[in-house]
Amino acid sequence: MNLIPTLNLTRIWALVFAVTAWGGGVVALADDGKYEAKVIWATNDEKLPDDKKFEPTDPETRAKLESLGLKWKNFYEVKRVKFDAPNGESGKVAISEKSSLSVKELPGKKVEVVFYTKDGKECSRREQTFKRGEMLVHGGNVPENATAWLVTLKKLK
Amino acid sequence: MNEETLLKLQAYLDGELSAGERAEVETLLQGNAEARALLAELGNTAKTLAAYEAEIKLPETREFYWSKIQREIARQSAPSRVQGFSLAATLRRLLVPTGAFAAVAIAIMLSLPRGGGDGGDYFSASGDAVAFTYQNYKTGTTLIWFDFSSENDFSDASSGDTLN
Repeated sequence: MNLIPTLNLTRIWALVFAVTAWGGGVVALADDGKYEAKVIWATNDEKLPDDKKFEPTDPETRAKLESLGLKWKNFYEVKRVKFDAPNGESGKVAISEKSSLSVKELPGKKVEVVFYTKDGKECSRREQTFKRGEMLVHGGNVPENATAWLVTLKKLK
Repeated sequence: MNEETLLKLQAYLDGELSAGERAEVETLLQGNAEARALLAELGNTAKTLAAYEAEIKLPETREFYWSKIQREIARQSAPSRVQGFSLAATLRRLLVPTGAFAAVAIAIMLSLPRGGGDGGDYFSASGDAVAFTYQNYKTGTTLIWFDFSSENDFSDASSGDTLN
């Protein structure tokens, strides 16, 4: 009686398929999300103050901000931060001296984004589906000069 | 022979034709052997049926017999009264409105925007922040807008990346 299984062509292909699928899954798990956050200054002033050396934000970001119906016409990029979410969690990432955020990837293409103010105080927590090409924007008024601050978040990978 | 002629022959046999129509049929019968044969056959059939038709005699008067039928019809069409507890009837009473409600709820859920909509999303603001959200589904952009009741932490002029 032959106890050694016969490795015919069908079994070899099945083995190749299984190993490939397993390898793909491992690669997918190791594929940590990459994110980009920007601090944006929103204003209606056509001319920046002399001490501000900001560039107008990129067209994609501008289009998305304009789709929100904000009252400001000009958007300047103050700062840009790229960060990873290894194993699905970014931890707290400082976006500016006054703000930081954290991203946690959840099943079903969802993320939980927590926004912190100074002293690491949690300001908001939001859970929603978040795919590449989408943008999450935190913002608020700057009462002193009728402008606004915005922090945009998008998924790069 | 067409259908009309056949019907006229039958009517002739039953004596239902006018004088003019009878004359027409008789003329037809004189010159058409097939019509004559058919009329004879129809006559034989009628006699056979009449001979073997069972004569039904009602045991009571016609009016009384009809009133019995009328009472039976009224009894069957009357709403049935609940005779004790019936689990199936109780379940049916509960399940019909529940099922209708579930169908409406499912229809509403299906009509709501999915995949990034606020439905199923979770949001909370904490501390002294008052916030609201707005979502533009077309551009996939979500806004969380803070309306701080106290000092705006992000508008500090002394900050290195100050916004004012």
